[in-house]
Amino acid sequence: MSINETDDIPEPSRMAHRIKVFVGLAVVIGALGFLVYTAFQSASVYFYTVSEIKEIGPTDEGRLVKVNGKLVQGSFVREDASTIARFTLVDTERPDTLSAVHDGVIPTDLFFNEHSEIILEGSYGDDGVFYSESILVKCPSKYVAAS
Amino acid sequence: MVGRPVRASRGGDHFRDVLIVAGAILMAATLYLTFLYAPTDANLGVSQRIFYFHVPVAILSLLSVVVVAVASALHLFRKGERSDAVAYASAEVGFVFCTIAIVTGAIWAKPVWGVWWTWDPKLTLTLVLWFIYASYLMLRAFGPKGSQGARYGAVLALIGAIDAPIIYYAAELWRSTHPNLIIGPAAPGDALDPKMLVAVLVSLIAFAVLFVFLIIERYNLKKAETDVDEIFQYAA
Repeated sequence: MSINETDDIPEPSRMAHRIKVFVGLAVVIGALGFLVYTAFQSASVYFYTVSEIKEIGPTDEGRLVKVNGKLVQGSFVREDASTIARFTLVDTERPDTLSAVHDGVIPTDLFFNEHSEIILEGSYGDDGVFYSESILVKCPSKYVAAS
Repeated sequence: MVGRPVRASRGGDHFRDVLIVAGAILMAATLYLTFLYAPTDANLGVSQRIFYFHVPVAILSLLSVVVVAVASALHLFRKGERSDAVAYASAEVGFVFCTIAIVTGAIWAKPVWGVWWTWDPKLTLTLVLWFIYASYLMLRAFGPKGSQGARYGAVLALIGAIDAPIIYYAAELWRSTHPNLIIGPAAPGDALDPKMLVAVLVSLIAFAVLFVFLIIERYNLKKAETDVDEIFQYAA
């Protein structure tokens, strides 16, 4: 029983065989890497910015999008005796703002932190209000000691 | 290969002892640095302390697939049994580390981001790496035995390792919930408080020692398994 099939191939052609296999392998690996990269680049982005969502306009019925921005300090208002909260997000680079409504739990640990960015998932309505269904807080990429 | 002693030599035993003692001391130091020495983060609070476990384990799970790929390339070139044993051992240990990285990440994400999981590029690609490890181990377990299985596994590992650098740069390449790079060659110098940097580096060394120790143990076991398999083949 042959453990290694290439054992019975003569030496020179065995070398050529190996080179062919490795060139083939290199091409496959290169192509896969390129495909992964380009597929991710062209696929829809993980979130839109506030300016982008305003440019794109209202979301189609039944579709969910994510939007990223910073909470405008002091804009957070909770409707009396309800779980509905209203607040405004501002683009991280431009002055565009977006009013948003969220019905549910707010992750309060970092939601109100001025360094946090907030990612809302929901739909952008015809009335110019973003109806959020879930909230994600994006924390800063820097860790500093508490004073 | 049959007839070679399965146990490592006396010198190997000494190295093993050194790793165990050094690992124990470093782990104790890591616990001290994590919970007492490192300052509490200004924004994230105490939850940030899981960073000292999450990041070293995640780095090692990326490194591990690179080790699998390099050992696999050596195996394909030279058909050596040892390089395949290194590849296999590293794949098993890497799978465990990748699982721990995902679990600690989820535990951290819940208080900070508000969710256990989100389909962010870095997280998604790490899950892909987890599946690559899982498929490698399943291929080796249920695929062809002997040198053919080793070669199939080697090809899978070479393709799978493409994921590692993409994961490392994912938060820089695409919009992401995951923070940008905090440590490593592409991270800004001021992303981390100096005391936090000391803690995470010691932790990285501690987990690296554990990683090397586990790979050596699994490597010796794998060699023993191969020897037993060969004895059975000769007997048959």
